[in-house]
Amino acid sequence: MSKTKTSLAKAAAKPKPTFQPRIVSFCCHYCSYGAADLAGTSKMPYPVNVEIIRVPCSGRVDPLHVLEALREGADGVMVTGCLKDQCHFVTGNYHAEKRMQKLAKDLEDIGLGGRLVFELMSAGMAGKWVETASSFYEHIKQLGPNPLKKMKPEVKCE
Amino acid sequence: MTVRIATMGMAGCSGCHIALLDTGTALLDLLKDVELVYSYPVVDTKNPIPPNIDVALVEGSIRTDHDQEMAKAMRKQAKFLIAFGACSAHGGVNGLANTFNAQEGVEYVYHKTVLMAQKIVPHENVPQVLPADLRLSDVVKVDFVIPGCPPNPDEIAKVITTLLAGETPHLSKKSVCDECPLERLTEIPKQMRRIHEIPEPGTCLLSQGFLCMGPATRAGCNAECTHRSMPCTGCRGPAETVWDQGIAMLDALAAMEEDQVANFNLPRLAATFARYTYASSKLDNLRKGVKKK
Amino acid sequence: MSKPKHIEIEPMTRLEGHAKITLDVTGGKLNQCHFQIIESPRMFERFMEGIPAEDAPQLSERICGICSVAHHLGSVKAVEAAWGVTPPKQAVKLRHLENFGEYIHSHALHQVYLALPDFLTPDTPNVLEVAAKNPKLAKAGIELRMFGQNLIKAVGGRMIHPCTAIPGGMAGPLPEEERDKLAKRAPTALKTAQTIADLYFKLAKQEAAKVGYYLSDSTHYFGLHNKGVHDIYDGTLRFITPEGKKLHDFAPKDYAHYIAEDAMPYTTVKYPFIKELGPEKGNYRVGPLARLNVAQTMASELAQGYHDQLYAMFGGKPVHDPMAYNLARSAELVSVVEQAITLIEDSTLQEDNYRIPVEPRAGEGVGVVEAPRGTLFHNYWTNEDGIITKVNCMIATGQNVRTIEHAIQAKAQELLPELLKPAPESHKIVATKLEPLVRAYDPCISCSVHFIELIQ
Repeated sequence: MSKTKTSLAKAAAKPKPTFQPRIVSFCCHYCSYGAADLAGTSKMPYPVNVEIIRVPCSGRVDPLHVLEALREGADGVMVTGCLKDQCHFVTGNYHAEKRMQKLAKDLEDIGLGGRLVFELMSAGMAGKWVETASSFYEHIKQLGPNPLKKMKPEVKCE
Repeated sequence: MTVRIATMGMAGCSGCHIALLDTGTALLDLLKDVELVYSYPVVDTKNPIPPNIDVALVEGSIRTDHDQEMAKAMRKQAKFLIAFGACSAHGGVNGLANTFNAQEGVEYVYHKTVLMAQKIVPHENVPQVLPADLRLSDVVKVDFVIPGCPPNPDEIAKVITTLLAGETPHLSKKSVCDECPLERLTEIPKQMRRIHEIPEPGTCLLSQGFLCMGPATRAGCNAECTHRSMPCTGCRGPAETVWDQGIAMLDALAAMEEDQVANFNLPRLAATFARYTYASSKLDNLRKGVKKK
Repeated sequence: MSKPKHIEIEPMTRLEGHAKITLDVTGGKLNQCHFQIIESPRMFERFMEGIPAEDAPQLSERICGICSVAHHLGSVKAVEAAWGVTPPKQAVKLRHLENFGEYIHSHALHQVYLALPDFLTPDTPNVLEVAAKNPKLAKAGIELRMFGQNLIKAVGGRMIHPCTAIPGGMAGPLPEEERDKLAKRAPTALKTAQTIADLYFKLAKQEAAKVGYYLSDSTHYFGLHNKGVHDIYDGTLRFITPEGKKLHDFAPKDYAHYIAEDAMPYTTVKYPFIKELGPEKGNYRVGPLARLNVAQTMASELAQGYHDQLYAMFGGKPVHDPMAYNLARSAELVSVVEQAITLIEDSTLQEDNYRIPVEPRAGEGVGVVEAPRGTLFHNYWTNEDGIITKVNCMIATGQNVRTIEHAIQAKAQELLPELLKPAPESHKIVATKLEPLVRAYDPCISCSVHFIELIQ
């Protein structure tokens, strides 16, 4: 075997560093943040790389927040809110759902598909929170890192 | 010392240059104490661009390698560089080409559709098309932006006279709604309507369901279009506090009950909400980051 | 053996769009000379796919900032043809008026700002010098052009990229106070148009306008006419032979049967030709001179006078000299002011019926209009929701490019020793001896890099 082939074989044999997805989760104060909090105090395990940003309502989440999170290097974004007729601000979660559905489709069109998920839950549904975070984490692990990560912050086209 | 002014055009329609000429006989006074050293529609100066330019107005977006070279060359020679018009400032309608692959687009135009035996894509000593349409600030530092497709001649004249007086020019911070004569209503439209439908005269077009980009668009045009009962299409780019014209408007419409926008594909979305600003939108910014070079 | 020299002089100036001249010379001999259009392709025909057809007039007009009205009107006609819509008479009158406004602005732009400096101030050829030498003429010329722009704004809502043409008619009437303002300025506008026409004819007789200086290819000619009368909005399309005989009369929707295209490796524009005759024999020209060659009479009286003067000067129809374009354009400038006045004074112009409701539908439509520089086609296909699925545009200037290039090549050969001098002398020679030829056609180069295929 040539020297090059030996070193290539050696490199292939080394275990690759495992990809640790970074997830950003926008959680509404009245419901889904409560669910995440309850999961924490109940010592229910969920992936440590899910970083929570508390917002007053899921309807507060602007598509730009999601885009900026992706641009800054998040591998996946979760937006979570109250159950259908339980939004503290009445229609916030309803508008959020429509926005996020549309945004998810646009992200697919530009090559960032599958990196946005929208879920509804009540403050007591810690299990739902854990399930959402964990399954999304696995999903992103399979999908791979954010393709934008390789670029510098201000993305230019040469 | 006379002030040396230059103008230049890249990928565009020359409308901004005509808007400059639309300052009318005032242009002669404007240029009285000024030396127009390089301006291809008016004077015969050829390349290379002359040095020591005080103010340069650059129209058009960057679509080819030649455009990019010329943009850099002008930045080198000009002390104060102005992105003149929507294409230069935000990418313009040219940016809508970013919704498809550039190479495929060029081949479609010259290859798949030509009726002749020879299917040639022009390649001898002609500029090469870049993978995406870019605005001026994507390639060089820009000192000021005069928005609009085309800009308002009065605004152009005001910017130039302000600069000649040694002061900093300013744009309106308000949105087009501020200049619109139609009666504002507080209703949110139930459904989006297309502009071939006939509106009620005198009342806000957005509240009637027509997509009017007024709320997200910078004032300064005297709301010419809504004065004629045609909705604003957003040609002056985002208003001062709007951080992405298309997405902000899209977001605002999430309150509509029946959402036909959900069925829009990317090209239609871009042409509707970011017609003049798609190349500068966050969505396109991310797309450029994802696509292979 | 001397080294081959490659000379490029760019940009071409005092015309619209990006073009350059390249010369390949060996040992003092001209091997190759190309008139290269290097305008960046913006690909309108691709990005207009998928948009609602009613948005096309306001989007496609961005192809050009000088003849945006031509695209705006050609586009709305194409949509109406695809959807089977006949706009009401008032709307058609308003569109005619808007079209006249565009010709006034565009022809005055050319005749005063772009071409006149070559003939009036050849040592410092620019409009600022013309204004310094003859302030009264320059001011009148500028005001004539602004009359045209104000006319466009009055009907179309904006001077550049108007917004009122919509399938079904126009978004609104001509406001009364605008009409009064225009009526007051109209007599001065007409006087200025005549002054400019008279000046061009005077310069032509003195040879200052370079008549006879360039190669005069005998080509076919193409344009709209309305039963033999010069028409820039609607009518029948006609090809005539270099001898002036009618070759074909056809309706706009049949254009693809008669016209095909050629692409060249060194230029981003494409060269149309008459299909049945092939690229060389089938070469043709469009624009003011072509329109006057094709028509039998002008649509208005004073313009008819200039028309007759032109053909008397050359001994009959058709005229081939490229510099005669400037004379034909002067006649058209007078014509459109006259016709605009007739419409402005039309007592029925303020009537209410300017728009009808429409239903989008699947279809195919061709909209034709004479842009100031020549015949313009917009061809759209729509689906059952009225969304555009395919676009085809054939644009004026490309139809003149082959002829322009022949003449440049011939003149470059003649002027070669001077062209080989270093800059800035060579630049001046190009700008004042070669480019006036290109300018005579008043090319709109940004437009011309947008047309794509012609369907089989």
